[in-house]
Amino acid sequence: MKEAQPTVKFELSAQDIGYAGHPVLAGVSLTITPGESVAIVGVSGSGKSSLLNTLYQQQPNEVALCPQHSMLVTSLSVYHNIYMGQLQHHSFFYNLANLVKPLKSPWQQVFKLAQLLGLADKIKVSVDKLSGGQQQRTAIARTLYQQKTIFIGDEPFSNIDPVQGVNLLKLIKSRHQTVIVALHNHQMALEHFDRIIAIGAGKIVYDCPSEQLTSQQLLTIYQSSPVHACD
Amino acid sequence: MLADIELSQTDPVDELSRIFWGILTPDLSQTEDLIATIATTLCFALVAICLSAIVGLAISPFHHLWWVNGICTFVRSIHELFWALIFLQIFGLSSLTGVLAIALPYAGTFARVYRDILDQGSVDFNQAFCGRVSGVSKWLYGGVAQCWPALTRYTRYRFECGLRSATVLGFIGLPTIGYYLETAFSQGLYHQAGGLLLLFYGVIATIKYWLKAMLIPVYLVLAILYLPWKLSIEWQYIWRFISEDIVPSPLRSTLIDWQEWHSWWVDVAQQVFNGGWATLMLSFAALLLSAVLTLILWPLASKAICRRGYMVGHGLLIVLRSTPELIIAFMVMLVIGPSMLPAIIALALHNSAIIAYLLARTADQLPLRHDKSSGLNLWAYELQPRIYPSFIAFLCYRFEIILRESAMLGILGVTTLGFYIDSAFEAMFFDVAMMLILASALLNMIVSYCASRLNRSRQLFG
Repeated sequence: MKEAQPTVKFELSAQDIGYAGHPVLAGVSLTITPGESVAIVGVSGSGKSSLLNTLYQQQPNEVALCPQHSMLVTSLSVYHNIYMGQLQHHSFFYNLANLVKPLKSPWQQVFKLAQLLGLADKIKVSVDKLSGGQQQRTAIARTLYQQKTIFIGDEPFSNIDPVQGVNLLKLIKSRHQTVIVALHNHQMALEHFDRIIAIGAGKIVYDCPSEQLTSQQLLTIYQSSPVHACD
Repeated sequence: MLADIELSQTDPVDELSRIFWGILTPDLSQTEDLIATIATTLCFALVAICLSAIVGLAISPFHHLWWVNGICTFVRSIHELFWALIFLQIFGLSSLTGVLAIALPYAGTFARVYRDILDQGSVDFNQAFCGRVSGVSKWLYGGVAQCWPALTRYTRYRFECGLRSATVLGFIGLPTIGYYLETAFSQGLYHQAGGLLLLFYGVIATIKYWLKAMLIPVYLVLAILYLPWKLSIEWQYIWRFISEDIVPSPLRSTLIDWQEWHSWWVDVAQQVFNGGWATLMLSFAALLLSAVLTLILWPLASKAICRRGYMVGHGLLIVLRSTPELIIAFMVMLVIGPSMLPAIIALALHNSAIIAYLLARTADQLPLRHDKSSGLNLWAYELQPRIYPSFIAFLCYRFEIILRESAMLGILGVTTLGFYIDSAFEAMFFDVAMMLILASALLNMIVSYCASRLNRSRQLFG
């Protein structure tokens, strides 16, 4: 029996990304197929968020997005913020009733998820009373609750300690076919992702399997003149 | 039952449909009358705003002095309409009455707001100027010039308020839109009323196109020339009004009759209590309904929620907030009959439209996620919770205004303070009227003091 070819999920060919006339990234070409886990690295302001956003726009219905500034509704509880991952699956009146008083079935689902992320005791607390790390875990929980096949995260672990970050990444990978994450932790990028895309100086500097890279090579993108680490 | 909100009109739907039909098919045939009425209204507003802005700006450097602050607070806590009733006794039905009635309370407001704007935006005088520079120069160059855009923006906004105030003065006989509308509505000439309202909305909607800073001096001269200033000041009447009429009647004779003195006070106190209570009830009911209506109205004018459809909501809000409360109340009263309900509805419609406009603008400036929900879900889960603090702050700020307007709406027959004041003027009990006006000012000042204390503690602990 012939094995089904994985269909390409994201494809960019020589595309400029950013504002019209002032691209943040120029001439970007890449494809990402289902099943890949991709880390995007680069200095702050290099265009990681713009690239992730462009990828999101290609498959908005299949992507669970975890944006950089978690953009939680801080006056609502952790429960409601996580629940928002599935707002569009329910009617407005169901959502409204749930806003007034949490409904049983979503409550059970969200509670399980909150337990996995260590937020069970905070589930009724409003987000503005949480620490940065707890807020980020809430944002990740909201993204997981969307139950999509692709995860796109923009520095989702920046306020979380490395050990916990790795555990969260494992959880995310176990629940998504494809994972694309922008991050600064190069150790995590090398050890836990199949592929690393480095961007700098307005373009993709290199795009290669993580096993071909050393920590030293990866770090070159943080230097003033980034060099190609692989071909 | 705390408030009188009974419906007493027999066929409200019929009357309502006739009013709407009239407004939808406006009669613009009597163009000359219409234009003259609008022109008079514009002139009143323009002259009064220019006068009060200049006076307000001149006072603003001294606003920190307790007695200047006190006088400003006092003059603005009395509604334009009550000032007009007072000036009416002194200057008669002259343009001076209308201009002063608007300019006096507005000058008090300008002094405070200009002072706030200047305090926030001024250059640090000691750093920016070296050598010996006079205080006036510092104030002009470092303050007024520096804050000019904010000052003109606020003045422009107050001009719109001034137009509404001028309209309201028509209800006591000055020849502005209010006068014309009251006549047209009372006689069931809804097509004429519709024509006038339509023109009025047109004038307000196009303010930014014709009100140019360079042209204001020209407009001002034209306005002063246009308004009829015929004054027949009879000094003896004015003197009598000040020295005798407004003095409590038992005090006028040299021998004070304590019995009479006592019964005078009881009578006044009763009116103050009844009117004050009704004013507060009306204000709270209007505040509550405003809050509910705001929740419904602001999403209609939000780009994030209604996409392109927001223009429709925006238009609705412009119409609602441009129509003075008194006109709305008058129209609603024609439909459902006299009670407190028309006043509640009018205050709520007008104020919720203003708050909704500000909230929609606030909400549309919030950054949103790329995967945001849409429509009602966006409203309920993301935007409403995030703008909730602004929602409460705007309601608090409008409460003071609602209270002033509640007292004023008494002239329609709702038994708030305005009703007793109007009745006292009609019966020529000027001493009682003065006491009642003072009571309305006091009520306003107490509420505004409580609101500012509440606001401060909310900011500290919230």
